[in-house]
Amino acid sequence: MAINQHHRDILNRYVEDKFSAENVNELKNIIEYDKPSGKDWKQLKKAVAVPDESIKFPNKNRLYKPEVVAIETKNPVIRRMWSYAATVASIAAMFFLAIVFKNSGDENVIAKKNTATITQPINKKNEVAVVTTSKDPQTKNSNVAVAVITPKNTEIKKQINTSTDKILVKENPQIITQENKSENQNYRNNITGKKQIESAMALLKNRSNSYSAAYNNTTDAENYIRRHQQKKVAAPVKIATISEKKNTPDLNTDTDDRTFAETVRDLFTDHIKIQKQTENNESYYAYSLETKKIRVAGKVKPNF
Amino acid sequence: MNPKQYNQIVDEYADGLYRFILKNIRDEETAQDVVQDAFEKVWLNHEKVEFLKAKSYLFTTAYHTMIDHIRKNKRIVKMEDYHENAMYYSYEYSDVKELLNRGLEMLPASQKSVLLLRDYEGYSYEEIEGITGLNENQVKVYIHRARLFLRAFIQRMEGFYNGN
Repeated sequence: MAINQHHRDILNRYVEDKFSAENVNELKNIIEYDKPSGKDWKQLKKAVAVPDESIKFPNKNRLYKPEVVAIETKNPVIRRMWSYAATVASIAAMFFLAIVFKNSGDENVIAKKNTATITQPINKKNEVAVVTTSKDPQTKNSNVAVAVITPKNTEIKKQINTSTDKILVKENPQIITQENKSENQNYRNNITGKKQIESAMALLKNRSNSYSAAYNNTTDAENYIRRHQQKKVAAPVKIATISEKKNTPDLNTDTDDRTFAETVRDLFTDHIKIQKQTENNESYYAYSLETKKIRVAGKVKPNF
Repeated sequence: MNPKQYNQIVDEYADGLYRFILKNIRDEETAQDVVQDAFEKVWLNHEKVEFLKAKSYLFTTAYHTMIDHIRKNKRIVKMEDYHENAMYYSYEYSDVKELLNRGLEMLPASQKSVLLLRDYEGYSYEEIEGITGLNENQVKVYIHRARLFLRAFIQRMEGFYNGN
């Protein structure tokens, strides 16, 4: 009995890992040769609890924590993307605006550059068309009239709407619709401005009743206008020089021009000033027609 | 310990901890709550807890939570009561594993938890001492008593079943 108790203690120590090499050999002998001890050994082995692997924590997902916080990682990326997009968009907008303003400013730039250029309309009937420059030798002619007109065609329209020149609007409503920048309308704008010059000249002619206007350099005018039309830019009408020409059209016989001339006369009567002057023993009439937007000035030598 | 290491601990020890708690409490929902609380405490202190000591920290936390729960629900039953119940148990177990589980349920909570830490997780006496807060001698005594009880219980049940 004492021996069996000793064997049980050895077995217990074996189970509890309190076992030496000598105990192992002794235990092997005991288990092999002593049946009760072998039975105890088997019983002790049964007393060792074995975990049930089938039991698992059911909601393990609730225990996990995010290894990387989404907000901290994604936000900088999104922020960078938005910043890049905003930068690209702003650059594109700047380019777009630059192109738009550049195109819109071309007309003004060209108009300013051509302030010394003279444009004269091309009449359908080739009756009145004089274009030259102020440096043209023909301006040196003593029988020269210089007209200066500074408005843009669109500005003329605005002025007509706001000033007393409503008669012109009634009889020539096409002037109002000249704001379109297309090629044809630019051409029409040129014609309108030139017609005003022509009408003013016709009025001066009637007033002075002493000279017949002459138009010259039709070819130059056509080339000039054509050149600007190719550039799709309205030919500015700034200075018109009228000189003598034998085949001067008779405005009185031209129904359209006469009507327009009468309109202009009615329109600008109060704005026309004519003064007789003498220079170098030669008498001439200095005239000027000036409104808010239009100024025509020059001198003519009476033909009587 | 970083979040990645924490998740690694969840992978490795969540099931074992749940088995350990479930064996002691025998209530699945309560065992899940205890495990979740333990992991939550580990996460709250994950910056302070070293990765190598995380398992011990986890089981210590879970053990104390479980003990608090058991005390709160007054589920601690004296060992003598189990022994008396064991004497009049209807012996229908043919499988040793089932007998062992039944014997484990009859153990007092302190002995059962110490024995399960020893058998389930393979902790040494020193580690069990650290987890349970008991001294080494107490751990040895509890394990020894639990083992003897289980052996006697199994032996008795098998003898009764075999008609001896």
